[in-house]
Amino acid sequence: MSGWMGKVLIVDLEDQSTHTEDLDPQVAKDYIGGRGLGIYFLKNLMDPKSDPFASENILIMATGPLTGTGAPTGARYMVMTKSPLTGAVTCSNSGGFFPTELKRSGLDAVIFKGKSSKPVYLYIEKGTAQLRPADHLWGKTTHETTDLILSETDSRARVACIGPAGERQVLFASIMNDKDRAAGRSGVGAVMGDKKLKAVAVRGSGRIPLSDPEGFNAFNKEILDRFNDQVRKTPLGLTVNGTAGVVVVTQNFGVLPTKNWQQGTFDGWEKIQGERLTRDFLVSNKSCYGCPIKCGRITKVSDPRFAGEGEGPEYETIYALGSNCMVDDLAAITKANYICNELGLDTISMGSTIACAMELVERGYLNESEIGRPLRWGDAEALVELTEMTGLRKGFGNRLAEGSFRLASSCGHPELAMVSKKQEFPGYEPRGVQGMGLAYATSPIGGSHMRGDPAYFELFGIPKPMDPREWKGKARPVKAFQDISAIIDSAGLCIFFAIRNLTGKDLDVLPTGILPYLNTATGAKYTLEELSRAGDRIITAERMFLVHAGFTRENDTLPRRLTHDPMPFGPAKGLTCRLEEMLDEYYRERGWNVKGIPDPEKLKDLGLD
Amino acid sequence: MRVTVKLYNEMKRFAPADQTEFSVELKPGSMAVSILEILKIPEGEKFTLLVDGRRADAGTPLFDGSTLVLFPPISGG
Repeated sequence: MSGWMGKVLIVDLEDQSTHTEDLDPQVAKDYIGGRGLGIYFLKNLMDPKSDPFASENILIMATGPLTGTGAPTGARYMVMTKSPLTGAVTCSNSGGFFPTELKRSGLDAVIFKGKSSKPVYLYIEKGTAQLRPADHLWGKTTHETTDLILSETDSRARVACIGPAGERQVLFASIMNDKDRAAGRSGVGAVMGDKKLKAVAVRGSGRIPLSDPEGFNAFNKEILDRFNDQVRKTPLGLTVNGTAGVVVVTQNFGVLPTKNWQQGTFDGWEKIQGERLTRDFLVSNKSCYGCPIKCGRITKVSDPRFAGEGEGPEYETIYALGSNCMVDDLAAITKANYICNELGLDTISMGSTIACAMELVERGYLNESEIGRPLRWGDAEALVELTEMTGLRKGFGNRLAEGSFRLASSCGHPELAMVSKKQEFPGYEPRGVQGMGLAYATSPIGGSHMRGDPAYFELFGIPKPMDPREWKGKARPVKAFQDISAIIDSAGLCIFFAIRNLTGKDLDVLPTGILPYLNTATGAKYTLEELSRAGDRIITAERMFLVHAGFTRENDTLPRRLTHDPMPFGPAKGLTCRLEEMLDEYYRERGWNVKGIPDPEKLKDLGLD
Repeated sequence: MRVTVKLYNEMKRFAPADQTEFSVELKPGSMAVSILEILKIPEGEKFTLLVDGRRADAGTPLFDGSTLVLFPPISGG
């Protein structure tokens, strides 16, 4: 095979055995790779009703056919398992260098089954896999773990690992690779910790075969020349200020979630926006493998209260730990981000859960004596302290570690958790960005911006703008953006490059530029229609996993605050999210019935019957 | 009528006398293009223009008390 390596490693943690199996070329073509392969294996290898912490749950790390090929931003992999936070699937995606190394070791994917009785890590060297004891790594941070593994294997190896949060099954624990890149969402790190799998380290030096290297390189040059020409004329905001630049956009549209989503603008926003990060904290930009954008931020905080060095924060982190908690101290937000990276926590769920706790205290539903300290809006020191306590499940951190839905429910007020399918939202207020509300409610992983990102056409005007306040006509472009996200995630690309440079210029966002890359890499002779249908197939297969796990329309929801309480002030004043109206239209577009269950004809059409 | 203008990030380079936020008196019935002319923003410059929190363009009408915001193309998240 070309593009794909044609091999999948199966690791049985129960009996500590490993073996490889061939990747079926037709499965590879139909599901592309990454996220698609992940759902293919999940639906075939496990019962969707299984408990996420049962031995039956499997965890898949899968690269895409463009990962490591040199296609711009072809750096990514996907972690899929059944989520302990949501009970649905995970789609936790990350870049950096680990995914390319995994591919170069001769593997498209690794599947972990069962549980180990003692801590282990997996070391893969040129396709040979070995489970090694990890007792000496248990309890270590992600940075310490990475350094120790590199010192005892190969300094050129790449490591994905969990920190203390994953070991303690914090329900939103992440898997960190290359120290500071995160497969952040839905508690993938908690599943790894439950399996006593501390890390995966890979040293791969092989070549990734391409079907038509000359055609691939010629197309790659054309795309990169066009990109470089554009950024010479107008520097890319992502390069200049990282994703943190988005604060300017959401604040001015009135959709920057603030005070646990009680308002859409934040008075302190200029203190936490991208320009401030660049001016006061940026050491240098950082790129993932093969990325011309370099949106990563290496930063340093000198303020003695919050001193440290590391990576971040991203926009989502700034919203969650910042405006959502009314914290306008960027040093504290950055420090809390460092702690999340080192303990292995998802910054979005962390910040949102603290914000939820702040509102529970404000309304008298949670007593500060239970927390062990005062907890008021804007308390920067509390933010940092509670983040650390959560990663270690120390004191009140043990309750925060369950996420905002379980915390708010334990106080008798689940309506104050700003979640869909029990997962916390990213930073775009659906009352003023209607399509985003539909995307949150129908995402297979719950609150997420990456499984279809309508902010692109609603806020950023890419590929062309649509009024964010309008709900009519949103179902079709939301479906299109979800489908293209499934293709991007499965190919091993990053949305930041692909959505601007490799898709059609209308709201159908067809994978016009991904097609030549895939065909010259794999030789699979995709037509545009086949590739588009693969996106629909992946989304529908994920939906069927959810249906079998017991999810229906009743789970495609948003908190009442967003659908019934008008935005109190700011540019989106007076608006509510019109989810129910959009849902009917959305299900029709998908070929799902009114309960959100795919029709039998639809399943047959996609080969999923 | 009076209109408030706010410039962010790279659009600050068009700020008159380094004033990134200022108010200006315009004739009733003016459109956003009046502000773009005052700021001398050249043809071909890429930016996002909001009037009172809504995406706008050169032909968008302005009213007394309107706020016009300009920032460069930004995406991500």
